[in-house]
Amino acid sequence: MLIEEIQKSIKDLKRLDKVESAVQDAEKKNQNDADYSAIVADFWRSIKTVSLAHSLLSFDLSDDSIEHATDIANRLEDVVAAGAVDEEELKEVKQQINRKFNPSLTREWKDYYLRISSPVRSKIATVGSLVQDQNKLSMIKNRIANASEWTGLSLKDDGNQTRLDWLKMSIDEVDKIEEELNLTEEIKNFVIAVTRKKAKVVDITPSIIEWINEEKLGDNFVIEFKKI
Amino acid sequence: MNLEIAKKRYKEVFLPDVIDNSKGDFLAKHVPMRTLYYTDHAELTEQDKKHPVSEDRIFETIFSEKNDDQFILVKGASGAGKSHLIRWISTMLEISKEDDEIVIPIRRADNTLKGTIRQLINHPVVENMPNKELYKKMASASTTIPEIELKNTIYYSFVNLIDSDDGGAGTDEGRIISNVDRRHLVALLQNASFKERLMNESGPIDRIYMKIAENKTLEVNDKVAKYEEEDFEIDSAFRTELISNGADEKARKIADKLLDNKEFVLKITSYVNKFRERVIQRCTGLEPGDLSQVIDDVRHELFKKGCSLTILIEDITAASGVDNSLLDALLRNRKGYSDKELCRITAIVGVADGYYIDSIRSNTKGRIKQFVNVPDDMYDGDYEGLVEFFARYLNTVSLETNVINDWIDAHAEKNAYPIHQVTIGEGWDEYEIGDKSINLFPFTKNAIRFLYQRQSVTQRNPRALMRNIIEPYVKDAIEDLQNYPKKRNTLEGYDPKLQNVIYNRPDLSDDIKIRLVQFMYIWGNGKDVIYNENGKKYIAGLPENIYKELGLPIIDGKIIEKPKSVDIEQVLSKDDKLKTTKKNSEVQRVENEKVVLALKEVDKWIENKDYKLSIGATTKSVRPLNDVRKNINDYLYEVIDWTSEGVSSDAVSKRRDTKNKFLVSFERQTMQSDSAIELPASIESRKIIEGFLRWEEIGKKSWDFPGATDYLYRIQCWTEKIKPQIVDAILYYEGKKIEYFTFATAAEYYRLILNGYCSNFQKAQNLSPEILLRKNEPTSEENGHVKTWNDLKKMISGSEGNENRMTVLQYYNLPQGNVKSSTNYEYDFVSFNKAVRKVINNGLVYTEEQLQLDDPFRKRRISSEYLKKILEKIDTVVDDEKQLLAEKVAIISKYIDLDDIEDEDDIKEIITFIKSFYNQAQKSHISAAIHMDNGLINSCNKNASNILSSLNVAMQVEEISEPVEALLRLSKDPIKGLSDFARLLETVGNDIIQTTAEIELRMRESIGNSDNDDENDDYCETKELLDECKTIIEEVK
Repeated sequence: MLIEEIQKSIKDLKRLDKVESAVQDAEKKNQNDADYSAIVADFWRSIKTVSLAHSLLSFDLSDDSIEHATDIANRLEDVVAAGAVDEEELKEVKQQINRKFNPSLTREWKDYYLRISSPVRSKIATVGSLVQDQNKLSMIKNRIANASEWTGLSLKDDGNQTRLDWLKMSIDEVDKIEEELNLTEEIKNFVIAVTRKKAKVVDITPSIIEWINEEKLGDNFVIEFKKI
Repeated sequence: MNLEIAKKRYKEVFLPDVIDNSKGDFLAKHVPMRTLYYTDHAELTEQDKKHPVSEDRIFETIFSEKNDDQFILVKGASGAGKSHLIRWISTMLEISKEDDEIVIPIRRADNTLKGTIRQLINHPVVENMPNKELYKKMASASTTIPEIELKNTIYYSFVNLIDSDDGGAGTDEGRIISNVDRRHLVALLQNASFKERLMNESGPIDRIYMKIAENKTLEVNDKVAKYEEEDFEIDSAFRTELISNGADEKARKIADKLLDNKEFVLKITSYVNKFRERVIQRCTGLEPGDLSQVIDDVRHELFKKGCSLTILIEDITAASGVDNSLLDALLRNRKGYSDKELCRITAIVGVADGYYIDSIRSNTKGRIKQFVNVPDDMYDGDYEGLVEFFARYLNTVSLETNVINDWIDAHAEKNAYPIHQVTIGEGWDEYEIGDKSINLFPFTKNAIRFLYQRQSVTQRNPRALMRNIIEPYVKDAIEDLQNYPKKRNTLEGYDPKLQNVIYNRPDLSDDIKIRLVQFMYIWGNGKDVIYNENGKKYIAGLPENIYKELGLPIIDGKIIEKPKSVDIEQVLSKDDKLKTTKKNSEVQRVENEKVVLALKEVDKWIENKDYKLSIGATTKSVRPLNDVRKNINDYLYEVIDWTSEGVSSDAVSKRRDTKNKFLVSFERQTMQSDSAIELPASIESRKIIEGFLRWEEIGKKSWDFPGATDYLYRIQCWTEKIKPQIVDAILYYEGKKIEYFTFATAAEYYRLILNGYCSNFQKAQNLSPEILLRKNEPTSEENGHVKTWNDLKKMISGSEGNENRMTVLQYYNLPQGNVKSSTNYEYDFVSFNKAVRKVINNGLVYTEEQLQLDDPFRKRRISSEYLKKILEKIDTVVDDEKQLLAEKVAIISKYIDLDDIEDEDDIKEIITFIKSFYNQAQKSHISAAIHMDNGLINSCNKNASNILSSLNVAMQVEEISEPVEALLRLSKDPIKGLSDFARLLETVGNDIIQTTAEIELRMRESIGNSDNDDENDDYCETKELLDECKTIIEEVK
């Protein structure tokens, strides 16, 4: 009936306006296309990073972010549904990406990074002093720290590996160092307590002394008075 | 009168004496003629009139001459007494002549040629003459031919003679008509239609025939046997008849010439009459000289015997055809014809004035030297003679024939004149004759004078007096004395006092009253005075026994001494009429002339059953009667309290204002008028009429005149008597109650409906009477209604509608004082309400039979006709409106689902969308944007509730079949309410279609203008990326 026809007509008119506007402004069109391509590429990279993070580190997005991502993907398709970039729509999608999606990603990665990087850093803090090659340990530490920000995750500092790749490798390296130190549970607890400066003399057990001697780590420990 | 003898004798006595009266009766009736004129020239001068002579003197003068031939022409009008005089001379001659004087009287017994010839031939003198056989042949001329054959012979004799003529008619006057005209005349005479005209009874051929053939009737055949002008006067109707009957060209040509050409008609008439003598001679077989030969022969015979001849011809026209030659013979002086040996002749010949002028040849006229002129008005100035004339007739009627004959045998001595024995009429007037007196029953001297004066001048000759007065009155008296006098005469210049006294008698019938008035005024002296003489009582100058004889009542009157001398008035000549008027002026002084004249007319009307009252004429004498009729009607309208009789003043005024429709008119009017009541021709009516006459003429439109109380009382009683009839006449016609208020009201409601004043009502039965009383000015022409609606609205909003409305308002408006119509209304609201409710309950619908279209009063019928005009159009109006409304709804339905419209917000929503559409169209530079009509959109928005209401009405009206109910709904003007909206929707609908096409086109153009391949590639790439993203997202979910 008429109302429906009017509504459709109004919509068509608006679309026409946009099309015509876009068609009439070539430079703007090019700009829009460029913007569009950039945004799409950027989005794609984000999604690729998510995919990499997921595959490397089992990083999962929240449902909200997934929904956003899905919506953004659809909207980005709609932007060019008329055959030209709908500048308004693009702007909105861009805003959605910038204000919602990307911050979500950043936030969620941060949380996830902390979650996975914290035990590693604890391990490093624990056994770091036991490592002979301190330079290597320092490099590991840097590599883990570099992966803290989402935005840099896909960067290839050395041109080959992304920071996300180095994070994974660093975590694996730390686990390997730990493994190589043959730490028993008793010794781990002792090392942790030492790291926390909570170790007591009484905690030193013969096995621990033995391990220290075997690993030639006698110089790595000092005894301090408890601060009151 | 001797009644028994009169009953036997009156028919034979009352014959014109030219028909065969006996000598005895003739002499017994004869009144000496005292006013004759003896001259030597034909026409009387004023000087001649100063010297009248008596018959005796004329007789002496003529017969004192013994030696010379004499020819005396007796001239006078028909009936003046020429024949009577000649007959008297003849009779006296018979008595007193010498032995050697032969008298041949040619009576005008049947006034035909045949009769004339027979009288001459059968006279003893001629009978014994040698040429008797010849004479017998003459007498037999034309006796045996049947009438039609003889008439045809006469007719074609004319034709033949004219055909053979050269145009001069055998006279010395030269050609009278041209040959061409003559030939054409012959053709006309031969035409069957024209012949039929001339052969008609009383036509020229009949007149000529009557002179030739025997007269078998007792009628006096006075007509001249010749053509008259009117015989040849052609009118256009006859001319048309000639053409349509295929008349000969020549006949038509002369008919054209005769048409409205008096001069030519005279010429032709005169020409044809020239052949008259010859035609008569031919038809009778007589030669011109035949009769004159007889005369000469007779004279010769008498010469031989030493006798003289006196020949008396009562009427020369009897010898038509041979009259001129006969006159020649009579004028032949023996001294000029000594060889013929003719005796002395004295010829006395009677001729009518007209005949003398037209038919006697001028050379004949030149030879006549002695004339006796008998005047028309024999008794002018001779009252005694007049009464004597009546007396002698009345006496003769009452005498046995033998008594008269005895008197004749005794030489008819005047002193021995027999007087009849009176068996009836004792006490009536008498005429003194010598030492005797003749009883004048059934006349009196007054009556004779009156009746004589009533005759026109041409009817005052003895024959007319006998025919018009003596004979009929005697007959009435003999046959029906108890109703005598039967004839009614108009009374003029009389004192109405006696009449009033008689007419006021309630115990007498109208017939008696009229008869008594006639008798006392005409036979008596018209005064209500009584005197006694010799033990006899006289009322109005007439003895009491006369009244009893006639079965008439005695009227009381003033007792007076017997007047010293009976007021004998002389017979008035026409010149003395003025004197009479002046003499009566003393009587008339107390009476208004107009009243008198009008009452005279009324009396004629009452007294004569066939007389029509002159109403509507403009002569002086009847204008007062016109005024009476008007005043009676005005009086009734004023004096009847219509409101209390339940009659609307509007209904009264509609009757009153209708021309020629009266409440009261008179019976037997000259110009018929339509009225509720006809005043009968009676004395009672006379009183009413007289009352109004006096009110107008004497009271000067007031009741301030003598006797007014009595008249007013009569009128008031009469008014009360007729009031129910009058009221019915206004409220009903042909048994039906008038209903024009009903129709006017219904029409007014239609006017209100069509103007939209009843839009709040669902049905006619819901209408209220009050809305009729509101001002309700006509509404604007700007509406959505169809043409038929607006045309009807225009029609009923005009002058007709206004008048109709006034009818509705005025009908129950109570009159205030004398104001006939007022803009201030004082209403009988109860009656109004009741009457209007009746209309409302009827639903404003009426069939043609109910509309009273046969109401004879136009002013009422107007309402019916007006309503009919409206009703005839209503169905069409409703159908047209419904159709247009349906079209509007259909348009709207095309665009919106009417079921979705529940309130005005729904409509406003639609309008909002429409506005948005046009706004966007403007932005997008769509051509449809120019159709945006803010005014229309705003108007529709503002009237959303009206639109909704109109849609509802449209739905309802579709279901309504009753026209008035539909009309009421439609009067809300839903069409207007929907028109704008429909227009808006339609425009938008079309614009949307147009816009869609335009968008498509422009889109195609826009996309086509860009770098299609690159774009496609770019977007393909990004699309792939996005597809990959979607896949990844799915994976990481």
